[in-house]
Amino acid sequence: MELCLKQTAGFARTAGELWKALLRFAAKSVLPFSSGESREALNQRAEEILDRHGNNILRFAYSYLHNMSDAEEVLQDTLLQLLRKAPAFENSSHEKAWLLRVAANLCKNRISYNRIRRTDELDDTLAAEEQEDLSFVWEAVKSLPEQYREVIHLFYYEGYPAARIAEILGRNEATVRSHLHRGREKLREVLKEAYDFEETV
Amino acid sequence: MTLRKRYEVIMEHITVTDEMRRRILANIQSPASPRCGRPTVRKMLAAAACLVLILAGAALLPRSFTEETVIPPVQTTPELTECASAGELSGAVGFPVSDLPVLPFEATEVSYLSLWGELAQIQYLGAEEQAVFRKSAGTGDNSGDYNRYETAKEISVRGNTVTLKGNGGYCLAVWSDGTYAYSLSLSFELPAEQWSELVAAVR
Repeated sequence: MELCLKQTAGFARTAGELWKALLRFAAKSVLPFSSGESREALNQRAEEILDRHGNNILRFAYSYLHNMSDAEEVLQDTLLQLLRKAPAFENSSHEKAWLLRVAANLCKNRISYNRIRRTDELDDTLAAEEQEDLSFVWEAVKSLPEQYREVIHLFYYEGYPAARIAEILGRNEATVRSHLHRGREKLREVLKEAYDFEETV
Repeated sequence: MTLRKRYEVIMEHITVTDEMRRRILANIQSPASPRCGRPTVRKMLAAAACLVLILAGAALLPRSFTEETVIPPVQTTPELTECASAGELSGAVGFPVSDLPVLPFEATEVSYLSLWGELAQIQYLGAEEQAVFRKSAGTGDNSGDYNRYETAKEISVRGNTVTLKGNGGYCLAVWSDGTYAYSLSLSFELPAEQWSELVAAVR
């Protein structure tokens, strides 16, 4: 009798725990804001991230897609990913690297499925400003294969070292250095030594 | 001025304008946003699955109360997986994929990519040229190229109908052997005769 009661109690505890776990899972699946954050808090977070890193993400996306509408959509989708996944960051630098990584993957998905538009507003802007030397550099960078272009952007614009670029792009550091070297070689051919390339990596 | 400085000046032309900011926040914060509001069908199905599990558990528990319940970790397939070779790519997508034996230029770099474990892509880079080869199960167009081209032509290669597209010459070929779909796109155009040779060599 006693043994039976103990086994029944154990069974009841297990069943109870299982029941609670399943209910939590069901609630998380169906109910919004199940992370505990209110809608207002999430909206505020979206604004903070947009103000803090929006330009960086947008520019990185533009370096892939060469179109403002596509880059804007990637920026929006990146923010949505952040709000959905809510990862924990050690610091702002870690946060930015995570966002750039997500943006890179989103851009590559678009390119892989050729879901990109052809208009490059930056071309028109630089032409309108009669900034011929800037147009020249932009065309040279645009003409690089994607693997070189992304490391060129992260190195020259974001100022990341090769190791950090490797983390963001999910590659090994040797590959990043190789792509950086080849990208610069290609730019050198096009730009004909017109600019200092700052060789230190 | 250094290249870095010029590139920085170029990038400064790309900014989140007030209008863009309002638009993005409005989209994110709207009730229709996938982040919040109505649960998606997927989430409702997940909840329904939970209910089934609960009911099944209630029916089974008297027989299994001595067993531990182990919930396996959820595993997700990465969307894009870089592979080191055609062999590794074949393993990633589950069907044989081979390097192109014939290319109209000398490739200095080759990359292998599995997309969603379903689509195999091999990209060849030359000094100025690029070729992208794709293979997937099925018969549909897997090129992802939705550009409008001025010219299109069908040729027959080893009993398969190959559709060539381009603007004057041809830069894209799409075909199927009934089991797999193939596409090959180039960054330059070739005449139809050369495409016959390229496609005929694909295995």
